[in-house]
Amino acid sequence: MVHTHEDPRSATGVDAARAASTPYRTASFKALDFDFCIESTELALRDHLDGIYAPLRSTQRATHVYRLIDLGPLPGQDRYFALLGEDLIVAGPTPSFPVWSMMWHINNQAVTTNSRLLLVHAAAAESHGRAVILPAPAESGKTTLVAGLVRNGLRYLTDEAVALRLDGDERVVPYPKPLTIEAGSQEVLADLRPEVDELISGYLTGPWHVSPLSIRISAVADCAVPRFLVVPRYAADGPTALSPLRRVEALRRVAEGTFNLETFGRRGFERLAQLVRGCQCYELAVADLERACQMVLTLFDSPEASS
Amino acid sequence: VSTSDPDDGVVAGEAIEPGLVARLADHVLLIELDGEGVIYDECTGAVHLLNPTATAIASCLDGSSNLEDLVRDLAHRFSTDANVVGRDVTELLRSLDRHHLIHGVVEQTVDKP
Repeated sequence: MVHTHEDPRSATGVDAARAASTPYRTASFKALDFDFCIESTELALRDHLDGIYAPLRSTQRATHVYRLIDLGPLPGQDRYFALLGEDLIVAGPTPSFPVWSMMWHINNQAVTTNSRLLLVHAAAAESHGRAVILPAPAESGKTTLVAGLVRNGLRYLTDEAVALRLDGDERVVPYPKPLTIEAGSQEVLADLRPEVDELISGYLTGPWHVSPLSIRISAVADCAVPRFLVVPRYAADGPTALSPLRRVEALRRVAEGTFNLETFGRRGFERLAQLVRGCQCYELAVADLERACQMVLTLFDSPEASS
Repeated sequence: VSTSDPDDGVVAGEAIEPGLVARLADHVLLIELDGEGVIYDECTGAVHLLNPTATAIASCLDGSSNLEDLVRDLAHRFSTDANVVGRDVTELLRSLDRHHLIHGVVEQTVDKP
């Protein structure tokens, strides 16, 4: 969790940040039901953010305005700030942490402010209107696997939250946020390294934030019907293996990883049961990413998959 | 008919009354998938998995039959010894009760004058 802090040391800086001009503004975006845009003191940073959030672009004017501010060198004071409107998200001496924190904040707002959709902690990808759902806790390799699948021709739905409607429409609602590729996966996904203007490279150290559109221009999916549920697990030393998973076990895992099941109660649980009923369910131990991707892709080719 | 004290649980004590009529609690949802059950407790958010035998028993806990009738019906349906079924039912009821997942009432035998 990112804690807002306004200690006396940075109070002057925060006031200065609030008063600072942020002339470069992105397009408006919508992350699930959360609308936002980003203002920056750096033109190249604005352009970069415009690019990685392009799949979330919205025609509605954003009501939430994030601001990334560089106050310039100030002895003994924080220099870099991320604000949401007037509210401080984080301040620090280096440029990358405010950017990372803002992106984390956007995702958090998308998930926590939603009251319409049931949100399962999962990645997902699509082919010909059918989706594979990859539910797993953090650090289980969801993003790595979905990035690999998109690289192999599937289209991207999300790497974080599978959004399910409760109005009878069984399709997954896309949430194509930038793929967050952590350091541990950057070697196997080296070709997805984002191109970053040298002027702003300091803002973007750490995880890579990759637009699915940079993988392929047609890499973002529309709504899709879930047909496969594959629970990935990183298994560095074991074999890569796909094995059937009992539907009750799949339902338990999905329920335990649903962000807002409490909000919807039994209606939400029935919706998750509907999801699992409609899917072939598997566990996937991932040692070799490419082999794991081929195993998932094979599911789409099976005769039962089209029924 | 008397309602059991919820604090004591519906199957408190060593023996379970044959006249016990149990049903899944209102905050409980039982889902069946491929013959196996999943119980969702809306109060705690907990999810419990049931094996096929427990699923068959739990799906009968609708408040319409007492324990004696329930065991007899299940023994007939699965062609199994009533004592074996009785043990399975008792074990499941105790487990569900421990997690506050059932309500129960005991039918009282009224002696005719």
